[in-house]
Amino acid sequence: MELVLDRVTKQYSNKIAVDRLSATLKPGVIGLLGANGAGKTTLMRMICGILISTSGTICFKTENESLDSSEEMYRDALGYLPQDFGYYPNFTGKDFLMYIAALKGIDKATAKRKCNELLKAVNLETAANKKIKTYSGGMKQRLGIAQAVLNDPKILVLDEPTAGLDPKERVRFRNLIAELGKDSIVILSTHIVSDVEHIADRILMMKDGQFIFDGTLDEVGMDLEAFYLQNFEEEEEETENE
Amino acid sequence: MNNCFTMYTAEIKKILAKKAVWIAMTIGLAFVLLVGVTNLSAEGHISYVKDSRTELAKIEGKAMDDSFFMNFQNEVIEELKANSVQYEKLMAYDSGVAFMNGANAIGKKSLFDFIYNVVRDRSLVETITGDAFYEKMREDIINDGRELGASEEEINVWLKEYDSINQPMKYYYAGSYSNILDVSFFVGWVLFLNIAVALAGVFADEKTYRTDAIILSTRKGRMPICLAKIAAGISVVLFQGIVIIGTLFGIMFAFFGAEGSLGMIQNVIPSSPWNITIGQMVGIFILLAMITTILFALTNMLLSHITHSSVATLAIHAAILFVGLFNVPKSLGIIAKLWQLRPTMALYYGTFCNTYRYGKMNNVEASVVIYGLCIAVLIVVLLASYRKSQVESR
Repeated sequence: MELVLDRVTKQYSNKIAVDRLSATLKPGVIGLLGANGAGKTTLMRMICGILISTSGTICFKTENESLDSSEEMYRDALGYLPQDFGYYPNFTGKDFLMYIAALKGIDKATAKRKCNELLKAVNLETAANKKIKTYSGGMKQRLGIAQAVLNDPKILVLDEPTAGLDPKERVRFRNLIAELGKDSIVILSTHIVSDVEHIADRILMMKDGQFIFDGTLDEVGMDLEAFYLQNFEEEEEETENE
Repeated sequence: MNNCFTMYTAEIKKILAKKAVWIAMTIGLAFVLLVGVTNLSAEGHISYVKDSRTELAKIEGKAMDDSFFMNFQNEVIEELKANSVQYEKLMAYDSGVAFMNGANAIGKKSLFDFIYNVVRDRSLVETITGDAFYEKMREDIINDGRELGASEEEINVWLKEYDSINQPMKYYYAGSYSNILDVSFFVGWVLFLNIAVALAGVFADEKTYRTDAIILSTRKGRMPICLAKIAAGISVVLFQGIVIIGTLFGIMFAFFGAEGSLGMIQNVIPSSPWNITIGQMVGIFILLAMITTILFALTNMLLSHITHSSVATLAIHAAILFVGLFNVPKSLGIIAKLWQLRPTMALYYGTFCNTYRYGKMNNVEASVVIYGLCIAVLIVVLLASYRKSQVESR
């Protein structure tokens, strides 16, 4: 299976947010790095089918079929944790997961089992029946991660998933992502280079709506953080010279 | 199916989790209670209403012919003679007022009011005959139609309807129903405002809570969730409607009794040409209440989806209700005719009077057809619009 991005573009009235991006993503963890405004969130939203591209196509291809990002069955294979993860303050953690499970078309019995498993996996078992408004930032983020993987997605899109997590939770989460990356295409967008460094099989670096680097950690040939800073320092210098 | 039910119950939970919904509902019910008490105080003391009902029950189902009116008139005059030493003086000064007081004294003020509403002259109440009474009703249908600006053809249709009623009509005391009709417009308003408060956030809150991205990225996050939201919204407001209208009926029945449903509608709206019983009128009233509730609910949900703001939705909904208070001059012809069908006026006693006709349909039939079409269009537009939803930059 593969996720094929073919000349994907998103243009707003006075700005090109994503500029003719093409890539074929295979199972594994793909780290998406880029400064604020590079177009990462726009690209992720287009991959999730919640933002229509101005041009280009996004297709999920398996041995048997090819699904366009606007199709229901494409969304069936998708798990998404947005950067600004929203929730219903008066729902309990369990209610919220059951609701998302229904939205993902999971039958009730499976949903119950999966919810319990995931609440345990993200260490929210004891808070499962408490209202989300009483959760800490880290607990909410863990709930967000749980909802994203409820349907065992083939494409998992995580936008800044480790924001708000303490170091211990971050390590736990990294391990979970690495596990999921064995069978799924996991796209992990973050500012935290160390998150990507530890688990990414492939690194995509974005700048001004374009990929400026697409390769493995070995291909970087140096410390990833230094490489990242070098690229974005160049950008800062260019801006200053202008 | 399981998923649909889970989504539907979750949507209901989201609506009912808001304090504003319960506050608006409580205020609405308090208003209905206040209206009931106010109407009771206008009718007199609770014990008077009770005695009066006992008295009027004795003539329930009797044909309103010459002897019916004569018996009533004699009863009142006998009462006045027996209890007023200044009977002659009183009758000479203002016989109408004296007669009204006499009717009040024998517990038949409601009957006096009923006859007075047709003849519109207190002094005529003491002399009216059966034939004159029905002729006056007929004249009113013609005069009301002309005042409205209805065509002669329209008036003739209503006259034909009126003439099909078996005469003499039978008398039924229906205090509850006439009081319900008196306040139905205001109660409808309370209900419509409750709809606005309950549903303004159904779609807009997803944006506010930033849950739209997750919902739209799921398998059932387009058409099925939109249908679940529509079903939940309609269920909640229908429940509100049943509670508010049920409370209105309950209070009125408690104060004025539930009797009278078998009587003709003219027992509560004397100028109505409709050939239906009061019970049938209540059925139509409830049907209109439910349809207009659904119509307002869908309008509100569409606004909620388009504006992405519950405050804006609430403001537009309130504006629609206020605009609905204004009348369009009959000189505007077809516009005035169509304006008469606005849903804010559906729960108004005038619905059952002689109003315009719309082709072969009367106003209620036309309302049901038009509101039904609007409901279908709103559902299609809402589904189509929601299906194309995108998550743009915050």
